Formats: sequence, C-alpha cells, structure tokens
Amino acid sequence: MRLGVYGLALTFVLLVLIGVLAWVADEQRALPYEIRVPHIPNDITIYDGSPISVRHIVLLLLVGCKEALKFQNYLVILISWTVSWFLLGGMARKIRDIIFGIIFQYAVMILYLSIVHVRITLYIPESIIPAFCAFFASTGMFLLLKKLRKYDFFEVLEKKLNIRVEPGYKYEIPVPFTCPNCNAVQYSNAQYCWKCGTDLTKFYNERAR
Amino acid sequence: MEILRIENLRFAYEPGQWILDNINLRFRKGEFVLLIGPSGCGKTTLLYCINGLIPHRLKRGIRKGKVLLNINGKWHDAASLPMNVISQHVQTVFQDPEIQFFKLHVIDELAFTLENLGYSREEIARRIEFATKACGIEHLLNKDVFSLSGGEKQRVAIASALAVQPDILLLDEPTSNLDPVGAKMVLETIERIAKHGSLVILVEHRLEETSKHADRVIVMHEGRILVDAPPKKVYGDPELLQKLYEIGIRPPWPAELISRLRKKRILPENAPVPLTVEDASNIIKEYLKQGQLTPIKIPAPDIPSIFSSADNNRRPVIEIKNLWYMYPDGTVALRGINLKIYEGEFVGIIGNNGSGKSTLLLNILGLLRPSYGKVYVFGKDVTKISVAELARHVGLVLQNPDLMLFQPTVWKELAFGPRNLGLPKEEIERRVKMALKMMKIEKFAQRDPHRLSRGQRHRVAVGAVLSMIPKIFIADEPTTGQDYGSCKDYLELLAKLNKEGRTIIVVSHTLDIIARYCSRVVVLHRGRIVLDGPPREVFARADILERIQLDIPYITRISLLLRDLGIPVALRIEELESYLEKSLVQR
Repeated sequence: MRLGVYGLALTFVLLVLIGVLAWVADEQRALPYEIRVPHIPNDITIYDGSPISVRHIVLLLLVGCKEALKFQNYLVILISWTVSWFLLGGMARKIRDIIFGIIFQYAVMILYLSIVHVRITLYIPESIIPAFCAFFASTGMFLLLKKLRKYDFFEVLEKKLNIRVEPGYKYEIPVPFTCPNCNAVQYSNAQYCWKCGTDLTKFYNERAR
Repeated sequence: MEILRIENLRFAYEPGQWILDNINLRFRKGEFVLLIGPSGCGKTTLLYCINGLIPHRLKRGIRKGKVLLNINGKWHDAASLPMNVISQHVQTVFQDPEIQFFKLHVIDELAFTLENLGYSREEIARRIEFATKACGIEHLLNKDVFSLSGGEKQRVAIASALAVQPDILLLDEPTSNLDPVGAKMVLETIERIAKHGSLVILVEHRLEETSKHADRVIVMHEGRILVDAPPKKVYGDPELLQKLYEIGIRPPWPAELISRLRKKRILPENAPVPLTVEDASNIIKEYLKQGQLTPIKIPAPDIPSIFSSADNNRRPVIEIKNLWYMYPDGTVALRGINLKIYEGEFVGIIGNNGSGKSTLLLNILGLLRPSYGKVYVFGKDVTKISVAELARHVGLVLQNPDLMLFQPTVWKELAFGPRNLGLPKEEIERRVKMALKMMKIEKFAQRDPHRLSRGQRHRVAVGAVLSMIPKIFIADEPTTGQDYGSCKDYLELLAKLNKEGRTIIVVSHTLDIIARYCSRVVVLHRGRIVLDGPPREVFARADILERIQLDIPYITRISLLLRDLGIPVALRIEELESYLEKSLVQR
C-alpha cells in the first residue's frame, strides 16, 4: 500500500508541475496543439488560452470544467481517485505500476465525466514541449541509474558500510552440489559441510573466480 | 518467614467458569517457586490475583477467597489494599517487556517507579545501582530501550521491578520470546535475585533451565493445584510423573530419561533424579563403573537418502539465489543465501536472534524485496507477483498470534481466508470445521478470540492458516507460550500435513522440537547459512554450533556425553532410551 500512497502523491505533484509550467509559458499566444481523446463521446475544455490562475490549475487537476467544482462532482472525483488507488495500491510494486495507476485513475475520472456529459479536450501549450522532454529525460536517467545502481550493490557495502564481501558470496552458487572433500550433497551454500565439517568458503571463492 | 498466603481463592471471568478453583498456598521469603501447567490452567490469573490487578484493574469477574500479603509483620488482604501500596511489595514482569516501558532511556525507565513512589534522589540512585548490578545491565544505562535485544529488554524490565526492592517478584514467562542465549541471561539474573531474599514466583515452560534452580514446583491444572513439591520429588515420583504426562506437561529431559530407564529396569528404581544433562550422564556412568551395566557398541543409524545423492529431478518449491537483504538503516540481515527447498520437506531454520531467520521468511513471502538476488516460489519471482497471490499457496503463522487475529469470533477468523479466495459457502464451512477439529478449538467457535489464553489464540491463528490449505506452511516460533502438550499436538499436526505432501518450514528456538520432527535443519548465523543437513549430523557438529553460541538439544547433549560408551548421536528420547537399552546389558 505504501507505493500506492506514493503514486497518489506523485499524481498531484505531476499535475501541479504541469500547471506551473503552463503558467510560466506564454499563455496569451494561440495554442496550435490539440489532442482529442478518441472514442469518448463527450469532451471538456481544460485550458482554453486564458491566463493561468489557481482556479485553472485546480480545474486541470480535476480534469473538468466548472461543473467539476460542484460539491457532488468534486466528491465523486475524489472517490474515483481513492477507489483507483485502493484497487491498485496493494499491487504497485514498481514505478510502471504507479504510472499505470495514474493513467487508470484518470481513465476512471474521464469515464465519470463522460457519463455526466462533460466535454473533454486536451490542450498542450507549445512551450511545454521542452519541459516535457526535460521531464522524460530526467525520469529516464533516474530509472537507468536505478538499474545501474543494482550492480553496484557490493560497492555500496564495501565502500560505504565497510563490509568486506568474499567473492564466493557475490555470485550465485548453483545448488545442489557435492562437498569437494566427502561428496555429501549440499542443498545450500552452507559455510560448513554437514557431513565432514569442511569449511566450504574456499570452494565458493574458487568457484566465483 | 511467610510472606504470602492464598486461602480458598476462586476466580471466574464468566459466571460458572472457574478459572481458579479453591487455591490454597503459602510462600516464604527467599523462595524460588516454579509455577507450571498447561495453557489456560490459570497461572497468569493467579499472578493477577497476587499483584492486585484482580480485582483493582480487572473489575469484571467473580472473586472469592483471600490473597494475604505480609507487610511489616501484619497480614493484609490484597483486595483491600490500594495498588500503589501493593506495587511497593509485589512487582510483576510480563512476557512482553515492551508493554511495561514508559520511558525512552534505560536509566529513566529504572527511575520511573521510584520517582512515582516519592523516593529521594540519593535513594533512587542507590536502588538503581543495586538493580543494575543484580541484572548485569550497567553498560545499558544510557541506551534507548527500544534499541535493545530481546534478552536485554527483559533484563531491563526485571531491573525496573527489582529497583523497587519488592518482597515478591512475579515473572510471567519472561523468556518465551527469547533465544537460548537471551533466556540463559535472564534466568541467571532471576536466580541471583532469589538469592537476595525476595520471593520469586516464575511461570515458565522451559523446565530444563529453571527446575535446577527452583526450591519448589507448583503444578496447576484446570484452576487447581495438582502438585506442590521440590523438583526432584515432582520429577522423581513415578505417580506424579504420570499425572504430569496426563495433563500434557513433560518433565525436564534428563529427569525423563532416567525415569524411563528406571521403568525399563535398566537402572534401579532408587536411581537418583537428575535435573541437568551432566547429572544424567554421570548417573549412567556411575552405574557402569559400579559394574552393574556393561556397554556394547551399536552402529549409528543411516543418513536419509535425500542427502546421499543429488536427485536433479526433484522440484524445488522455494529457490533462493544469492539473496542479500539490507534494511534502510544499513543493517545487512542476509548475506548471500543460496538455498533450495523441495516439495515435501520438513525444514527447521534455527539461529540466534539477529541471525536473519525472520528476514529470510519475509523475503520468501514477498513482504520484503531483496536488495540483491532472487527468490522464487513455485518457479515465480516473488517480486513479480502480489502478496495476495502468494498467500494462496504459502501460509505463515506468526510468533505473536495477536497480530493475526481481528475477527469478532473464532469461526469468522477461520472463514476469512477461504472467503477471500471466493470459495462457495459449503466449502468454506467444510474447511472451517476441519480446521476447528484439527486444532481442537471447536468449543471456542463462537467466542471472541481475544478473550482466549495465549496458547489458545495461537491455535486459532494456526487454524486460520490451515483453513486456506496452503501447499507451503511456515510456522514462526510455533512453541512460544505453549505447554508441552500443545506443542506436541501442533507439531504432530504439522508432521501429518507433511506426510500428505505439504512442505513445512519451522523457525524455532526449541531445538528438541526441531530435532524430533524436521528432516532437514538450516542453521543461520549473521545472515549466512552455517550448516544445512540432516538434524542428526547438524547437531553432532557441537564444536561449530558452540562457536556461534547455539545450543544443541538436551537429548543430543546427553548422547554426546555418553559417546565413549559407544552410544551414537540421538535426537529423540526414544532413540537414546533404545540405544541405552541395547547397549547397556545388566549383569
């Protein structure tokens, strides 16, 4: 459930970021880019070129128009977000699960808004594209570093925590194997042979080399 | 001098169900009394009557009779004394020391009660010094209580009680959550306290470590006193021993072994009753020396075939590949574990506190993600499937059953899991009835599980897992807080499930249980596997186990001491009895 909570928080952060970037952009110019969400019979206008204000940012977050600010609609939107994360939060194990969760919760919200016959149109300001590129580039770098960091786990142990790791414990030891001294079967990388008591650490280190 | 009298005491939580029934006892200052009995017999309730929690805090229930405390030469009924007066003369240490802690630092915790009793600074300092020396915790004074090990926490709780210098010290299973090293620490402390002059009443299931120090053993059963005698009388009298077996209490292994040998006439009926391993082996050797017995060497039993040849066609149900786990605070709990557990195995995982046993279990269940390496259950990476999906096939019973119980009745508790699997109503009912019967808790079906005794709650928790019919059953410390009879029933049940083809993994400090039931023992120490093999061979490696401060089962210890008589390593008392019967021939 913890990742689910992070996902919920991340959603808010992302949308506030988009709102802030749109505010920084020149909102007075005409907006040449428009994306229509396919197969949805109704649509709403999120951003129509008006100056960005707190009200617009809130509307952006709610993926709605003025009707979204009515109490009952606001309540249902909150419920749809919460339900989505309750459904997904327990299953979220990786970042891609969170991304899927964010998309899913907006799908639920758009579905609700479609049912109450609200028009949806997504506009993207021109100057936001470099910001999106920067955002995706930094996210990609973060994910790559995270993946690379996995292979530096032992460096972290040795350099930061001062834990010396023998080579025999850095690699997988295929089990079962037989003791080099007495041929007794070992079903794990135990330090000593259960039969003859031989210290097997040397054997693991040689195997790792 | 008599310090405590209990006269015709009766107590019932619910009308008509007497938990204590006509208890009459007298205690003297400086006695060390061991109070034993099966789960639910009323031991803890008796302690609550002595320390005034009944009736002052637990106001419901029906109480009759008297608990009289001798305060400054005058007898007072505990029911009419205020708690603040009782607590100056009677102190209690509970099973879980954390529930007693109020302060963050050890020294503040020790001073807390004394400050509340209005002692001067100088007096507080003097009493803290006394208590810390008695409990050997001088080096812990400035530490955070919650950063201590289990044994250290329990010693701080005892020191906190001892600082009051009570006339009576009550201890309710203080070692049940501790590993053998921690338990030994605590029991040595208790023995020192008894020598200081307080009456010590200790409720315990670990009879081997405690009986040798006790002046008196009181056995309770169904709210009544069954036996009240010195330990050697209780364990040495065949009739009393028989009564203990009938109520599910096993005497200490050394005493039981000699008793069995006496029954089989290998030793004479007047052979002394030992309370320690060394005494037991010395008695046997003494009769040998006197020429009454003649040793004959007998061959050791064969090693199980699974350990004799590698069978690559066997399917591993759990596969761990170079598993490392590091906690967020930098503690490395697992260091490169490679392990395969096969279908149908009965595996015991042992190791001292902090060796990584619980972390290993949590990684298998997917509740913790490996820092490095992989864990596969039925061939699936546990990080790629949900905990809910894993729970269909892997059942875990936690050490503390209270963490698993949340339904209003036992029936609902057992039905919760199958209901979440989406099973039909009839199947749920069938599984719940099966689990109730297996755990012998049918009579509790409609009761609130939180109102049962700890041992009964544990059985409910096991039942809740059994109703899921998991393919892998993991039990974390299944013997905590359980009497011998309940432990035996539980382990026999696990053995039965194992015979049906289920894989059983048990984490336990009770090595006799591991030796008796497991076909494989994995020994962990500081995050690594030290030994992994058949129990007979693993426990024979006494030198390696001693190096990592791990004990071996009592029976195995006795058999190792008799090695020079040609006795092979024994895991169970029946084995040792049989070896001695075959090899020691009466002249």
